[in-house]
Amino acid sequence: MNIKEYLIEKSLSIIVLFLVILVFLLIVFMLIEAIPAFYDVGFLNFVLGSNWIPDNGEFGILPMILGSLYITSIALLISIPLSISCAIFLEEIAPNTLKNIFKPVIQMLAGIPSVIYGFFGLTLIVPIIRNNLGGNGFSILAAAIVLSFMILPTITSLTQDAIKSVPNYYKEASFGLGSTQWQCIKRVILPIAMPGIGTAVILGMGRAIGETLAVLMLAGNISNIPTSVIDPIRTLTSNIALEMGYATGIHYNALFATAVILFVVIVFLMIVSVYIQNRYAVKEVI
Amino acid sequence: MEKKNAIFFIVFIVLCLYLLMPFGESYSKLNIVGSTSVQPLCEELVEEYKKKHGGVDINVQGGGSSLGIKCAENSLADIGMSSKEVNQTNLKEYEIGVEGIAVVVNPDNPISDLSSNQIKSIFSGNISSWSEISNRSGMINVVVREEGSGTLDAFKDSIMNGTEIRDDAIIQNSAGAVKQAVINDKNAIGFVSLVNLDNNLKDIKVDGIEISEKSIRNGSYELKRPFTFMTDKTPSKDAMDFINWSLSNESSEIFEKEKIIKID
Repeated sequence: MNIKEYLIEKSLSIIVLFLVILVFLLIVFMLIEAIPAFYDVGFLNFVLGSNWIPDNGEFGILPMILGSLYITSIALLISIPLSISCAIFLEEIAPNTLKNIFKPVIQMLAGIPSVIYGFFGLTLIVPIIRNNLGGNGFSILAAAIVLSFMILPTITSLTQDAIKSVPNYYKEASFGLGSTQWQCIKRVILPIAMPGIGTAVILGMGRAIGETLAVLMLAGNISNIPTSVIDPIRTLTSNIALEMGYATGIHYNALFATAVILFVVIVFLMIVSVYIQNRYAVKEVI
Repeated sequence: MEKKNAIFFIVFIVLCLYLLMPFGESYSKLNIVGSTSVQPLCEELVEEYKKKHGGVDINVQGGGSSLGIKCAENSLADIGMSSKEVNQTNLKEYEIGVEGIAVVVNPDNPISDLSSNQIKSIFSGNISSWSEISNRSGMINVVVREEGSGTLDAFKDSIMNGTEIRDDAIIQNSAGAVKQAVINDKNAIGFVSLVNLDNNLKDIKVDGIEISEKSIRNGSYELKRPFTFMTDKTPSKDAMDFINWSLSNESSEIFEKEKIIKID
């Protein structure tokens, strides 16, 4: 029996170790492929350069860094209020019958392949923007709107879990003191669920900044610094996806360097969000 | 315990079968690498070729024309595919066909004829409004393919002559996406290869000549690119068999289906 326990314990830790090594190898591989580009172009020229013309050996990814950040933040701006309201409604307000219908529908949004979202945006949202706001429709706004639909199920279901895990006695106490349902949600449930909601937003953000195909189809992929939300833009991910098929030599390395920057941006955003989450989390008082 | 034994038994049998499988058959293996534009045609060819000649295992991979050239040079692949001019002295080239590229606009656009100079000015940004070349208004929305695409290269070679394409042209990464962009926008102009042309798009006559099998074959339609197979100086017999079969009349039907014009 002891041997069995021992084996299970060891094999589990080996699996975890293997995954950690895999992540480590991925990073090392990415860096090895990227270093020639940083060396050749110069790190600052690469990150702060605003021209991306591989044929002339100009590799500057500032427009794409801005592109990724713009699209992600606008998508979050649209998605956060929507999905948190959705979660509150489903967990606290909706009767069970409605909940049983709506919950699977929202979760189904997460299962739809991104190419479908891309075509949806291409045939519906891009023309609407072109006809009402001007420009040619392929824009930051189009990509951000579609992206906000894509991250909505992630944020909603994780927020739902956070709300569900608020202990019942808090609610009972709040009702006992005579609060209305809205007061209870606003003053008691949401503050306690806040760390969980923070995690939900971080995961949604991770998905948004990493999403490639739908953005590729909707953003227009021009590597210029945008001046308004109806301007086209290229993101870090679509830059890699667009050109990886053909790239050779230093161009190939530059695409890996783009991936390194994307990685750094994501890690940075994660650290900031975790910090904010810890800083403003309501500590449970016992 | 019995259940456990049964599972072990099944795993054992499967492992034995797996180990036995590759033995006893003589396979010859061909690797074909290169242009993603030639790839669909090549896959069709391979499928048909396998039906007629058993015992050959052919593997078709994309990666782009330049990868195809590189792999054929270094003998990493038996056959390289390219959809642009090759001009390498250390390779044997076999031109298997020509593909036409159509300049397309939305069907609601009344324009049906442009000179190659006008097309050049539109794509370079010198002409930016439809009113400059027709009696309708509206800005021209230019849609192009991504850097490195064979279709873009062929378009640049035959139309742009070294002039840069305007830097605010929308970039789409597949013919399907270019089509969608043009179908949904009455001010758009783009280009796709002949096989992607359908009734939802309107093709434009270039210098008065419409894109068709005939005009591509007799050379009057200028916008086209060659599809080429390449091998190193000493191709294997299997590779030569496949190339010769592709060049022969037996494969004509597939070329017709993919709208690639065969060179006689």
